Amino acid sequence: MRVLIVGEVPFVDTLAGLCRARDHKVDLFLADDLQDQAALDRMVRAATRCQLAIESLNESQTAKLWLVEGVEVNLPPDAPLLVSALSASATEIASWTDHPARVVGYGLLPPITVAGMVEFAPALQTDFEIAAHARRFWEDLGFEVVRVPDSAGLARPRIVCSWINEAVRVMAATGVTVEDLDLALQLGMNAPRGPLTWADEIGLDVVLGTLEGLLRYWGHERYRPAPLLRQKVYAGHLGKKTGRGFYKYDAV
Amino acid sequence: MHIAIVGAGTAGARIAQAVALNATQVTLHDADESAMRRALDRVSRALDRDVARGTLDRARARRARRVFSLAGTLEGCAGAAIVIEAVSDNLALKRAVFSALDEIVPASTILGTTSHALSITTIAAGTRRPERVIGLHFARQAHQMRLVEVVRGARTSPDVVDRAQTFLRAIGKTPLIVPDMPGQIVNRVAQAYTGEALHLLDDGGLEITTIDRLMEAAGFPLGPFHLIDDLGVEATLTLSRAIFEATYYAAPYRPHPRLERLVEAGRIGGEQASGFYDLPGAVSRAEK
Repeated sequence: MRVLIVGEVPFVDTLAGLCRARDHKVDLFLADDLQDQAALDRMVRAATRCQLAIESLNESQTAKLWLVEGVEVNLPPDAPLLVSALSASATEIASWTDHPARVVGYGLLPPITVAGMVEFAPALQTDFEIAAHARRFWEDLGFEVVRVPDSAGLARPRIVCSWINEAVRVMAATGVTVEDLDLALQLGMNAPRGPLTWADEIGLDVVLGTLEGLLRYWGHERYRPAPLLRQKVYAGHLGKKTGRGFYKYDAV
Repeated sequence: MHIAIVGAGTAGARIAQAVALNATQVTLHDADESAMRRALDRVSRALDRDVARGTLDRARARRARRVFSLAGTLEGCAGAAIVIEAVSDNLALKRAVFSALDEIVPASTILGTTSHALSITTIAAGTRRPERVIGLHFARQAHQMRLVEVVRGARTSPDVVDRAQTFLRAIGKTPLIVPDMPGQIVNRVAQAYTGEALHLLDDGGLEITTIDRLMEAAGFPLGPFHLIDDLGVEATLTLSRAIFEATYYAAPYRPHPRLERLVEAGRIGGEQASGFYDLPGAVSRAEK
């Protein structure tokens, strides 16, 4: 199958790897590169000939809207569009498109080393056949498909990003160091990694985008992003992918 | 070093076990004689199990039993360098323990409290020596988990902080100095994990088993509902209320009604009781 993958690291790299392992032909584009007209033209050409498209961009509502519209309008009419429902619900994303029936939501959370569980969330508009097709696609990649209700942040990203947000709030309020905070949660909760390390893996912009999506969806101040998180994103400290988030990393 | 532990509930017993393996003398006291016996039994069985599993040296287990003693009265704790209070998280009860200790132990004794929901400064204010009072918040599996959150009250002396850390390192723990706030760091942040799962449950469409499976697949050893049951539904609710109060009733920290309903139904979670999950053979407290 010819698969178009567009969006942000580390999500798109992982997806591209898993697709290639199943012998899909992959056209991969980073959202950042699409500022360049030549790259954008290439993406549009790839969209017109793909059989399925996957989108993963959650750093901001406007960027996501622009990308989803730009991809969807060029897809063949029968190609499903799988959209990452972290910063907006699949139903909302589908509402931006010309053919909302082909839009199916999903949720993954880095680090993804092997295909594990994928959250699967058809939109209210999704056509039944398309949803079944999308489910088979995920299963074929090796994922266990877990159906979750469609809402911004779905299940895992919602819980993990809320947990990260509280960790950032506590750190900012108490002056506990980044290292101590991560150590406390690793040792005290047996978390697989500290919340700040995890935020760096996911990307602080994606964590922020998910929290903003949750805030918009629910309107509850529980999801209001910690100001420090926003400051880090303004500063370009987005995590591993930019070499600096809560921690510093060697050049990538 | 002689360490005394006041309160022989689950937490007290686990702390006593951790300490017994590394201290020269451990005294466990509880006003309830049968609770003390149960704790001794429990520590003894835990040591046997670890020896049988090969995770504990037979000689070390023998030594732990030898240094372990029960004290029928609080006076039995008088000789300890550190007294660790591990009674229920109730201010009146804790203050009663500390004011009794005030009359018994010498001025140099460090008074540790395991409270996770109460302010150390508040507990310390009820004693004649607030500078000797320090929070020692052991992880829930105190006998296995390394982390101990060390809470400095407003008047805790730096010397007491140093000595408490030295003691904790000596028994193989990792001390971490944390601010005096309900839940300290671990429970405060962990509550966002369990709390968000409760809200997710409210939306319908997902079973607790599915939510737990998703989070366990993401690498957490316990999914949120397994974690609440493990900590105890009632303990989780108590902590949640304390955090809500301490944040001056900020909306994000509102305790979840589901916890309240479970507790009312007697499903208090913890070791011997059902919570979100049914524990085979457990009876709810309401039926007892």
